[in-house]
Amino acid sequence: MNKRTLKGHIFKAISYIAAAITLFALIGILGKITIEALPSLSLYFLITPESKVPGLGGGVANAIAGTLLLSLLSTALATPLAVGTAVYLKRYAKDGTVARTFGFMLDVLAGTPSIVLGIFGLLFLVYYMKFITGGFSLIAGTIALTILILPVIERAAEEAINTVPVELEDASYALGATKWDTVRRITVPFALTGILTGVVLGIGRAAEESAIVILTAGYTQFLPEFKVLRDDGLLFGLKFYPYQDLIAALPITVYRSFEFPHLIPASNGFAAAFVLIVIVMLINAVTRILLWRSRIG
Amino acid sequence: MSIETKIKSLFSGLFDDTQAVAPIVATLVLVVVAISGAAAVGTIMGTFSSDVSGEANTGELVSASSTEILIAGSTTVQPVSELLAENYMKEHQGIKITVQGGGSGAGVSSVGMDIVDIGAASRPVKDKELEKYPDLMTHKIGGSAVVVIAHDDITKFNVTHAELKDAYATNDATKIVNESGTENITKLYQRAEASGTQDTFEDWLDSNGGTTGIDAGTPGATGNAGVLKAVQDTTDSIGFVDFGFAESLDGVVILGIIDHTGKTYADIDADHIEDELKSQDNTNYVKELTRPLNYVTNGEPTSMEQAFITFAQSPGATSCFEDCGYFAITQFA
Repeated sequence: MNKRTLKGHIFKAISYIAAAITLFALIGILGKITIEALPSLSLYFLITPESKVPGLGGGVANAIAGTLLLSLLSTALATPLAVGTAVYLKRYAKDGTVARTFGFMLDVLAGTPSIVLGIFGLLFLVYYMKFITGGFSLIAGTIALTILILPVIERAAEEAINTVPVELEDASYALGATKWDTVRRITVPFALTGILTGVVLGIGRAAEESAIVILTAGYTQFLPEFKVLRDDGLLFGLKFYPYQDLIAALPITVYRSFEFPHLIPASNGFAAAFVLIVIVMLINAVTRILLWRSRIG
Repeated sequence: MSIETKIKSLFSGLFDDTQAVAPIVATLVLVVVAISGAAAVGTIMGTFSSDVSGEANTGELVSASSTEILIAGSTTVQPVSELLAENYMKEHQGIKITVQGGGSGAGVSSVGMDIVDIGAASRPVKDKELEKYPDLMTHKIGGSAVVVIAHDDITKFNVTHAELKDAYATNDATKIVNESGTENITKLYQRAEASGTQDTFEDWLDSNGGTTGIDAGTPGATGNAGVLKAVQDTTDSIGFVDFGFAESLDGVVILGIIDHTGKTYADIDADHIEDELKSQDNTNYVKELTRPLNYVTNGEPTSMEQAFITFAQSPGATSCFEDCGYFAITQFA
């Protein structure tokens, strides 16, 4: 065996080992969490909010509902903004100082630690804007999470738009389509796979976030309610549930089981973690199936 | 162009546009419409039913601020708050009490900022905090104590005030030497965040003068649970936690204490701490290591907040404190 093939083999071995370590780490974590979660996992645990169980812990329905609401609403808010920004930067903006500065700012935003966004949310959304957001609330949490995931989706959308073949767009223009027509019929549909990958990443990021959520959305033992009540401290004198109400989230439930080891069984926390992983996995899988069925280009 | 043609062209344009909308956009619009529709129906139904139930219970117009209390702050007080809230809500249908953590410091400042209704603190409100939020009112609901714990490979011994003070001031665990000299303490833990437990412990370290406090380099862990876990997991380590956390768990021993006057407190258990909370004269446990569990309100509490605080101070609430390893105010005051 000569030196060059040996080198190749060594690097091949290193790649294999790296992949194996990653895979084993994942399997190890998932396996450990699942095993530890088993004593708590039951239908009752999943569909009962903490407020309905005597003592602490015992149910995660409040946290499941909260995590779904928070991650879906913030993604719904962030996606149009992110895709719009990406289309603007890639198709409308002249590639000059402004666009580059903008891109740089987005990178800074993407790199901002979540605790910083959380403190901003606490001061600005929870404290100063209390008469609109209702203090610790779903709205405050959603807005703060939107800021967190916006750069994630925006970057993915930009990458996706980069992959759109110029020939296709040129062909569209040649047929007399306007810029808007081209963006709408060619660019975005072609980039949809990439954009949706960004959206899935965004949902996952929002679902797993804890620092921002605890500082802006707070925590509640109750399920979200749909109703309107009088509240003189708020805009219009009304409090809209669940938007201006506190909301729970699964990562906080996980943390709480660690916070009170003498009152909440550890398996409760692992079960909440398990549910969180399953939710993120399901969202991922569903999107992939949808994408696979509606692929363009 | 006649008006008729104009209208026709308008509508045909609209029609053309509608046809042009990509299926994916149409689906998205449908989803949004469906969700907002569901939310609207839910809202209407919810308003209706809650109005009825609210009237049935309170006999007055339902207002969110008169049926909801948000409590936040000390992680020491948090579990007892949750139990209290649960029991209170059982007896008072229509009232909703939500409990959060954050630490004593966060509890005091967020009640001062009016973003929570009741702040929880496992220490008295400090003068500096009162300067900033002059309207704060303290309501004592119970008491507890800070104890020194060690990993359970260490045979229980009595640690002196001077040793602890020296060790924590310099982050040098070897300054703690037990009488027999057989145990070597190698690691100290402190709290990583603003904590009533830490404040109480630090004040006691400095109780015979000086402000040496705890060296900032001492490894920190978050919450009582964090320190407990760190000590459980690290051989030859020492830390301090609330008695309620230390009492019920394996893996740690509660160390006896010799205070700066030379008085020894060898047996530290629930009875001794309860007696000390009652007597407050250093006979049963170190007085400075016992501390109050407080609720703090910004100004006079509202009638609903007052009702809950009164419940927390009532004999009926004792079991909530006992379940967490604390002492209700009725047990010692």
